[in-house]
Amino acid sequence: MNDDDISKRALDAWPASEPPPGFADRVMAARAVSHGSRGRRRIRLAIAVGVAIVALAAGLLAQALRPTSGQRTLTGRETITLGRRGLAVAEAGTQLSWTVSAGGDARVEQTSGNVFYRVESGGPFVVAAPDTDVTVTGTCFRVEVQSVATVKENARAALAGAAAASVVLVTVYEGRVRIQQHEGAQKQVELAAGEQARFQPLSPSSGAQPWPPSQAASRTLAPPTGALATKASAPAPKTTPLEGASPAVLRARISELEAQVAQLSAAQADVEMFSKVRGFTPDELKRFAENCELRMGAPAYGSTPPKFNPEEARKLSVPASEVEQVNQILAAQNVEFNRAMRDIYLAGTGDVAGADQLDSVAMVHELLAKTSEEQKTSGRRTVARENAGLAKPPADSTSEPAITRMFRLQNGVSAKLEEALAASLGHADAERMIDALTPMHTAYAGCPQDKP
Amino acid sequence: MSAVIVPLPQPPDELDELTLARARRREDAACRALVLRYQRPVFALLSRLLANQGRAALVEDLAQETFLRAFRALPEFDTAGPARLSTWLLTIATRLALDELKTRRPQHEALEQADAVVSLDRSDTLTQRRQTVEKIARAVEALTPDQRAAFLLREAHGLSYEDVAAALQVDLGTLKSRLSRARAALRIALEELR
Repeated sequence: MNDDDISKRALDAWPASEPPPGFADRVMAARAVSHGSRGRRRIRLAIAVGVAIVALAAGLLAQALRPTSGQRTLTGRETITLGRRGLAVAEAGTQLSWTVSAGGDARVEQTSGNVFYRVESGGPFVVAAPDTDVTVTGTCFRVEVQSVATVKENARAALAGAAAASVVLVTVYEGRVRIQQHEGAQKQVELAAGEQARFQPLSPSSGAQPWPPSQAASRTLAPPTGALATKASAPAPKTTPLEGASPAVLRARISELEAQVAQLSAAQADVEMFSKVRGFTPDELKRFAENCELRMGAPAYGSTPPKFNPEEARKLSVPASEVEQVNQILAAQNVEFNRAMRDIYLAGTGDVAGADQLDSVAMVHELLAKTSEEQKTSGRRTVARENAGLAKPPADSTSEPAITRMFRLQNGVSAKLEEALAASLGHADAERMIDALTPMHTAYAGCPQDKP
Repeated sequence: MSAVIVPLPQPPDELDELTLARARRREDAACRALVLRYQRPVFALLSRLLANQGRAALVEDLAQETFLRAFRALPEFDTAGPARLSTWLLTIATRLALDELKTRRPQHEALEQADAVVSLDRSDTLTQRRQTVEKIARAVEALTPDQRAAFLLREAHGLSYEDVAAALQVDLGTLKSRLSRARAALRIALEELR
């Protein structure tokens, strides 16, 4: 018998107890008592000190219960306390003003910038972004008010972004929020943890009517696909009365229509192209490399492991035992992705507290927000060239910019999952399932600094 | 698509990082999730360390104390450090059990689990199993608490030699000696069954 045999046989014959039912509840109760008893031991001291503190506390309480308000334009990251229940971590470029009532109800006006909010349970707490109110009761979420220039970074958004002055992007990490556009109380959606939505303000100049935002509640690794549908539902082009028009007017109108057809065809081609996130031809990959373009699919990785959608599994006739296997693989890959993203985030920001607080989806957004356009373009170009076989990824990527590592990580998620599925279920099943398991489509595109 | 270089994964059986961060902030739901996640290995270790020593009744008490101590120290747990949370918890449990074995007198309940397993059975297979269980139990009883702990942490819970040595606060040479003696004792017990 070798050592392994001895261990195996010995442990097999060495009984181990299972935790009894309710053990976790008893630990939690003991923990509460423990906190209480420690508190009681401190009572005498507290009483002695308390007399002196009461007067001060009463003053502070009175001050805390007074309505407060404030206004800030930030030039760097800053944490702002919003009454007793709210905390906002705002990035540079953010404009905030707020009013908090004596009861803790709050209204925050965020006209620009990127803010992470944590709100404890209580009364109404509203963040008002352009044309959009986000109402929360107790949750953790981010509101980004993006300019067109920022939005255009995303290929999908670029299809629709030209018409809008700004876009509001809401990402929920914990709890739920209700979002309502100012025009029409009946127009509202709710987002849960892990969901994200993009909203275009209903400004008269835009002419766009993107409500309800299509796929508003899609779970994404990057901004969702709402902009695609916005393009599809864009208002019909203005028409010019042609009866009795001169040949010159008619020719001009024909040219105008031809241009619109060409534009719509290109947009449609992009829409179709975007729905495809794998299986690109070498020519397509080369074109992407020239355009610093990445297109990828992924599961909804984040704080909660994604699972095989039962409906999709049923459509694909995947037996329950295999669904369970797939879910285990997804859970393992989710852990791996989160860990890799955390490492990259720490390398890029050095923000340990942020890494503890944010899930991987939030880290992706934060890195995008904190990285210069030049670095993002460089990262897109590097990874797109690798995809096209024009460059090789480095053996050790740790010295690369964090954004490049992040793009490469996201870019490889689908292939990595397919590989794990193939190792467990075989190549045929992996290929059959991969589309259904990677519903989150993301695109990054453009080499802006290359343009004259 | 290019291959992606991803750092070594955190073992999938560890608590996810977000829940751990919340537990460090003392959020009840996350603390409860932590207990649920690690209660089985903690019970397995403590029951194997204590049950054959007449202290089965103490397993739950020490398991509870393990988690309470962990919650108190959790804010200092270095999530970026090399130690896994499971290793850390098992180290706390081991030290509690060893302290218990060194400081208190045992009660008389040896082999109660083994007897419970086999007392209603008379089939050949289970009779053989009973013999194996009894033999192993006696061999285990003959081991010192430190040898038992070393063997369990290494073989049942998969801790590295370095982690086991750190948990038992001994150097690597001492650890390997203890493991060797534990394996030798168990080998003899198992070979006598042939």
